[in-house]
Amino acid sequence: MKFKFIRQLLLMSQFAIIGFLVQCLTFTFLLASEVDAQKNQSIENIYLTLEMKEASIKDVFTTIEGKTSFSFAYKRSIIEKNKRISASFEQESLANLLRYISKNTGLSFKRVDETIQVNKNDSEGSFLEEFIDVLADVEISGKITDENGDGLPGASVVAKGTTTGTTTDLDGNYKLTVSEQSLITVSFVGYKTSEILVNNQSVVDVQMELDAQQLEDIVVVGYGTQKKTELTSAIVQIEGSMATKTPSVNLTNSLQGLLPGLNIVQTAASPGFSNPVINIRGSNTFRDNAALIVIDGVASADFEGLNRLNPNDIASISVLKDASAAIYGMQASGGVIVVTTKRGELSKTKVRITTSSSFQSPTRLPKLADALSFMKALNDKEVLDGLSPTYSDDDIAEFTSGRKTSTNWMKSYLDLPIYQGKYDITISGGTEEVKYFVSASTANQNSALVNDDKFKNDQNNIRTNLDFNLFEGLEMGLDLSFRSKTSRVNTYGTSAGLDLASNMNPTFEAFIDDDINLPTNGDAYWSPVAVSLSEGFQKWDTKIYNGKVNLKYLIPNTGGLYVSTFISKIHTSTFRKNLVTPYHYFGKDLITGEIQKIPSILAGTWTYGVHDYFDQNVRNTLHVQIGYDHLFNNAHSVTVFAAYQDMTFKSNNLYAGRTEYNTYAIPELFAGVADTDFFKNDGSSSNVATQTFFGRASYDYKKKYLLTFNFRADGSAIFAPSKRWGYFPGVSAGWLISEEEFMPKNIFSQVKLRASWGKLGNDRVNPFQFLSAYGITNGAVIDNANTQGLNELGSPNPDITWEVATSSDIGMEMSFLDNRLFLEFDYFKVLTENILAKKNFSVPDYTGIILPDQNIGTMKNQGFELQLGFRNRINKFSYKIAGNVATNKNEITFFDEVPNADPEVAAYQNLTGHALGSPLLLHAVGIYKTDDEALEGATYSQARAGFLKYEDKNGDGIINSNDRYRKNLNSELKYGFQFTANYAGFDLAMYFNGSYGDFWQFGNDFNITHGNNLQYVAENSFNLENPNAELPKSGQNSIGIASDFNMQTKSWFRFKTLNLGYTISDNKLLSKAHISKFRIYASADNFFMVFNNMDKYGAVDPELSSVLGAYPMMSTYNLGVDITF
Amino acid sequence: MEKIKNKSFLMFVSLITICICILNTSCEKDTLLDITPTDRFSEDVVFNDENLAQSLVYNTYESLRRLTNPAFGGYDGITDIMLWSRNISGYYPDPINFQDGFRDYIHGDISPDNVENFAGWGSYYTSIATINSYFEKIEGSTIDPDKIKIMNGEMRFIRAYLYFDLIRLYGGVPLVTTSFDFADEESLQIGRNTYDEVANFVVSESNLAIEELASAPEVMGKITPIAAKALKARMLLYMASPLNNPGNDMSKWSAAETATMAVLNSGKSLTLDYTQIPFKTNYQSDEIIFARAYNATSRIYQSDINFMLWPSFGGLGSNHMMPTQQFADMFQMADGQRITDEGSGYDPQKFWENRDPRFYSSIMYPGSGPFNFKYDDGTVQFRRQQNYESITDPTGVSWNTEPFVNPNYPDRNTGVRTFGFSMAWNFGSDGFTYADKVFGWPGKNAITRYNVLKFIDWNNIRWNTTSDVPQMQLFFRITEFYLNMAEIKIALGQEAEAKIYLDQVRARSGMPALTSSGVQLVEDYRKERAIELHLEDHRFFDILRWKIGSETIGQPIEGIVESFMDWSVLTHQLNEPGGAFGTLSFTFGSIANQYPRNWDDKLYRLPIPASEINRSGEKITQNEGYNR
Repeated sequence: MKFKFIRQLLLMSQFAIIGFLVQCLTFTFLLASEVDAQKNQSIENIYLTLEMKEASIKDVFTTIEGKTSFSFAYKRSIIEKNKRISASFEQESLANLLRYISKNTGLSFKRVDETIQVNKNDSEGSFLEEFIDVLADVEISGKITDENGDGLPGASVVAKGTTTGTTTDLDGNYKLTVSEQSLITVSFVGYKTSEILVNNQSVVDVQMELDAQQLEDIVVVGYGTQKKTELTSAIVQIEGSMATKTPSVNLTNSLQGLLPGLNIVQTAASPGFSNPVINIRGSNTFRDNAALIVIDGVASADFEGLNRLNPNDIASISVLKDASAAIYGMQASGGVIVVTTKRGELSKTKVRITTSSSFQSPTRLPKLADALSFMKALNDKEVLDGLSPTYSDDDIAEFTSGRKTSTNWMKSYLDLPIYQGKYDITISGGTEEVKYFVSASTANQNSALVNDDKFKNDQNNIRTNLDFNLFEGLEMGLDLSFRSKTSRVNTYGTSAGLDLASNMNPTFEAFIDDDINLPTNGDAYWSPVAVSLSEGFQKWDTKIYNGKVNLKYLIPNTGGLYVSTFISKIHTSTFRKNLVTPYHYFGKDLITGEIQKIPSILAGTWTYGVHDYFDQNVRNTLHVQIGYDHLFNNAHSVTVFAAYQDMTFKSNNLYAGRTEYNTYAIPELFAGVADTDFFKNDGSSSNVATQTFFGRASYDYKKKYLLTFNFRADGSAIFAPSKRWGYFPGVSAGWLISEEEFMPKNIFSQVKLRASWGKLGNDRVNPFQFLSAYGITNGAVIDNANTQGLNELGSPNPDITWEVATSSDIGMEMSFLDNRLFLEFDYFKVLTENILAKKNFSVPDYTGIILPDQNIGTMKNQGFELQLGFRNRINKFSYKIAGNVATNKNEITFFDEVPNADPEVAAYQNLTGHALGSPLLLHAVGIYKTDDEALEGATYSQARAGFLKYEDKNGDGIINSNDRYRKNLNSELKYGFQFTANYAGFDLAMYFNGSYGDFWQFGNDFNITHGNNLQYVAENSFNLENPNAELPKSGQNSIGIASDFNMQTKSWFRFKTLNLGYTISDNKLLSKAHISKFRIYASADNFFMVFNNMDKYGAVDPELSSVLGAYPMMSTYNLGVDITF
Repeated sequence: MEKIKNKSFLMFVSLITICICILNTSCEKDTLLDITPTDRFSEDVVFNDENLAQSLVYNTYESLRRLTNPAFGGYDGITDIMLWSRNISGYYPDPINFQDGFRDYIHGDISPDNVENFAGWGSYYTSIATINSYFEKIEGSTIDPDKIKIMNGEMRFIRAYLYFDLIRLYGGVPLVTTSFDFADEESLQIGRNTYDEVANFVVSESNLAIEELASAPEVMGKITPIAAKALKARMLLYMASPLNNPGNDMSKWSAAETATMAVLNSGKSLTLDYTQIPFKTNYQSDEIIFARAYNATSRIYQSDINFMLWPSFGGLGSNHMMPTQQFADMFQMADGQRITDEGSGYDPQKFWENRDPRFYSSIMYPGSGPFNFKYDDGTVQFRRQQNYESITDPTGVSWNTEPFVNPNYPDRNTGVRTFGFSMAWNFGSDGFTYADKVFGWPGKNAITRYNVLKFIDWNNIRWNTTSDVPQMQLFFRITEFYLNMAEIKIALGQEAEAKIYLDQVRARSGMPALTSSGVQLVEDYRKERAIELHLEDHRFFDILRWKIGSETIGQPIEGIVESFMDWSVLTHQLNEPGGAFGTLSFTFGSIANQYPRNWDDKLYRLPIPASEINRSGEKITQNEGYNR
């Protein structure tokens, strides 16, 4: 083991050295500097040539800065924006030059060492002073305060142009010795940097101003952070606070529509199971393409990804969309989401309490056919099928006369509104020695199902992030977190009941005498309410224990060399208890009025009794890193690291059950009958591991030319030893064009061009397919006893290896008008090779081979993303509006196809050349109005009046499977925009998002048992009175091959989130209660649909994957307070 | 200062060391990535462990097509004797929506594109490949050779049976006996073998299996030498049959005769009470040569016999298979006369009187019963008689239309009724009366007005998840070989001997000896076979090999199209004491709501799936009558 470790370190250093060499070779030419030391020379003796034509003052300063070693220090407000200077100087002294400018602009200049301070000129003519190494040192002190006037600890106070500086203490005070004419700069993350002239003052107090842009400045990239302006990759990031605007208990849902290229689809909504699908930039493989989620440096730390994290713990979420994800190598081909949790800061203890209480009600429910429409639709169908109609005139009269009323089963089974609550407390602060962030939160959600006290979800999250400054240069972090989720549902699970309810026959009553305790069995399948009244339930108890220790040692006297390491141990356990009991429904004798309780059975593969399942797994991650950060000559910035990581994942599971109970009073195993025939058990374990060497080298020249290399070598245990290692290099470069002289600074605040290229891996495939193996099954019953069976798991494929995606990205970032208007554009292309797929389509079935995955597929995916925003501040009113849009198109470039003897048919039926998710469909061109018409032209033997008419794609006069074509069902466009504003104490956030180009399809059948459908379908289906109907006859109306009929483009735009708050701070009354800040807010999630093209059909929320029955998407209305002590 | 720095470094190193040790508790493990999976067995282990190898063999048993596949009773539901109705959404059947494949077949729409809805293809070969691979890997095993011999016999029997099943569906198929290498793409493309080549393989493999299985323990459920003999005999009968023996080569019949005689002499005998054959209590019956048993663990859920065949009234049964009028008419009168015989005494309005005793244990007809019904949890029992109708509309659901002559139905306007009927329609509150209409709801189930009785266990509940309901899949029982022998003897022109075998089967049920001969004897034999072996997956294949598709599968299904209860003449003829019933009358005819039947002789062989032809590089040829 020891030897191994040393070898690994050696290997690591090799990577680092190679990276460094490559970088040096490429960029030595940039190291040459034209600037000599001008520190001790008078500006009278420094000559330069300058050509100014209608130049702004700022441009002139920038130009002079570029030609000399001086830098100008000034407040933006003193420079007249529209002032233009035109002049030409040939080898003129800098002093004269400044005098000329002073005279023409009303500015004064004071040269202090290498800084030229700019001020308003109160005197006539020009004003220029010069101080070189002659100034006396003075001691200054003061207090740095935040926007509320509270002391700001940890703010940095530096004399500009020097290395003299300090940071403020816990109360925001500082002391510093500087030369008397210094300009001091005060900076703190999240605030605008202030510059103040000392001017012989001994006390300098500064109140800092919040800077919206600054907040976004630091971006978390893989294994490090970078300034937004220095990014060379397509990485987008949001602050944790943005995610807290939505009162969702699922963090992922809160991110919807906020970031371009991050596609989140809320396909399910039931409490505890509302885990949305996350996908970055669409699909680039036909395998698992899920984004890799990294929490505080640990990949796949939580099996539920982001979903169940506490939003108040999140400092930032950044999304690595391009080759920058290659630093995460092995499962990064679907992009990487890096979550950073909050840490303690140098400050006094801050306690923050957040509460949120919400009510939820469905965004929309399906408009189901009522009894009359249903009966008519069913009768129409039967008449067309040549059957006698089910419902007689008398039956219909029951409803027209009002003796009976139609039942909307969906509404009957929902009890609204429902309640949701979230409570959160965080404590943070720190000293030089110890910094801490501690939080605890709880969230609970109830069910929308009537009478269902079983269906609920409770979550608890606890986190402690500690940072210790042990000795000089040695830092240690200790993060401990715990999360639990308890979700209970009734025996049938989450949405099956509502799915059924949406299909129930509306002529039946849902309850006897409208009593929700007396549910009927509807049309005799099973009643969700009856089930929820039974003793049976399913319960999942999930717990995740997460511990991480990290150490960083900044090696002294090396100018930035460090060694760091972390180990992380994550223990996940899930205990699931399933009590399955018979349930009862109710019947009433019409004559005697007697109500009877009728036993029924549970459908599905349920076995009565108690079933306990226990799964646990442990994920260990070890990380060692050596790195070097340094800024050479104030111009060449180098950041390098090399690292080693390994991960082991072990899981085991256990099942025990008893299937015979005399009573279900105690749903535990011991309470079952003693006969061991009814005992059941099972168990298994599995094991995987990965090993990784990786590193990165970044270089920039004056933050203008930027270059980054990264490299990763991943070994995965699931492949054969010779196919185990995958190598994933990446490179990216950026050019801050706005730093160039030729760029007019008055228009462009910032312009950056960047490009990236890299390879990313994916090993998400059934493990160990290189081995010939056998698994356990049920064998035959021999001599009245069960025997064990064993089945071959498939032919081994010794060649199976990594799937590799090559990602390229070109991006442009621009901001204008003093950073008020900003824009970011990305074009990307991903080519995926070696996609793991089975050759099921070309290998004949008679070979009987159970095929393994082979590295055979290739695929192309490309698209663009655009982000556009504007922010401004007018006195107390500040606002920001930002929008984003993303699209992608994928194309399969190789897919294993069924060989088709007819090349013409193969040409339009092969998946190769089409997008992933393009099924083969017949193209419906109309509806046969009469039986005679159904005999004309290209048709099929079953065709009759009311049946669908199809296009004869190959022109052979027969409609069959050869006439199917590929239809792309992917979403074309996803977009979102946000508006946030602050005025006085008020804050407002409005998020919108939408999608265009998904497809959905509704069925059009009606059946007597659980065969109801949409009212729209009932009213618009073909029947004898309505031969011009929009929809074909209900029921069988086709050849039995899927067609594109009823397939509609889904397009919607939602007002997703509204959040309005009011904050009181610095209030004397509150201060007495030690409250420094008090915010009260109201918010709404899934507020309303602005636009939904499915509206007329009356289907469910367009985001849900089903059309009729599903746990409804909820609108959440929320009230909460946020108190900081 | 230096000191502190050194301290920092030492601290750093020691902390790292501690961390690594916490993490890698398995420090002794040499390579992190060399993992032996703990959730599966490797090939070396399996083929050198007697028990694991046997497990592999027992798993392969499941590849024998169950009688519940593709429908309970196999393919009986598309023949003339049974009508299959598809269970469309779990509980109730719909007469018009046949299972897609069934519909396509009887309508003549079966094609290379859709044949896999009708019959398996790939699944057979997956099992065959497992067996081929077994034979390759068991070579050189360290397991006791005597044990291997028996396992080889079992595997050989299963592979032979799979080929037998394949060729009776498709005719000649590719005969694959060794493993393919998926990486060698060209080797994957092969052509078909002829019917006789595959059939001879089945025979020769059966011979080998008979030897290899000689020392196999004779426990039920296990493949025995008698099973292998039975497979060989049945294969030879199929080879001699008109479809596969167009020149009527008599040597083929003789070969079948010899093999069948070997089965008859194997020690099995006819069980006295044939109605008890299928039940678990008689599982170890002398009658059974090879059957697979199932219990709560190994069965396919909701494919239980009781679940599939119970008359559906309310939600309680699935009623997948309905006897037809054609079937009902096959039963002779108790005295051996055919119902069409002059003076047989057959009265269509009292068709149940004086019939073959097997009629009453095979067919549930209007007024029969009462039968026990238990709720699915076994808590409630009640008894029901088979249906009658109070209305004239044979298919309608409006059971309450005028005249409201049924005293048990409420008057719609007053709501008065004498029978307590719940608004939840699927239970009746009394224990001795009838279901509200045709057995089933809402009146579309038993569209022939008949339900099956064979295999249903009235002492048990319909189905549930835990109970050990009777489950047995019959593959071979001795009765078949008495009948086979009769068929062989007729073909060989030995009618008297044929009748000896037929009469033994008839005598068991109390039927008198047959007196017919010639064509009439053939017809009597075929009806006898249909009655004895119904729901055992024989009728369809018998029709094919006898080449009688057009007069059986090609004809519309008949049944009772109308049954009428005249309440003005009350009788007690059908009921339990205390009930009041009117007089039933019946109209017979062709069932209205059935899928049209178009027989074509190409249907004697199924088409080979089109994709298989394409994937074979066109080396596989299509059967006659189908496109490509």
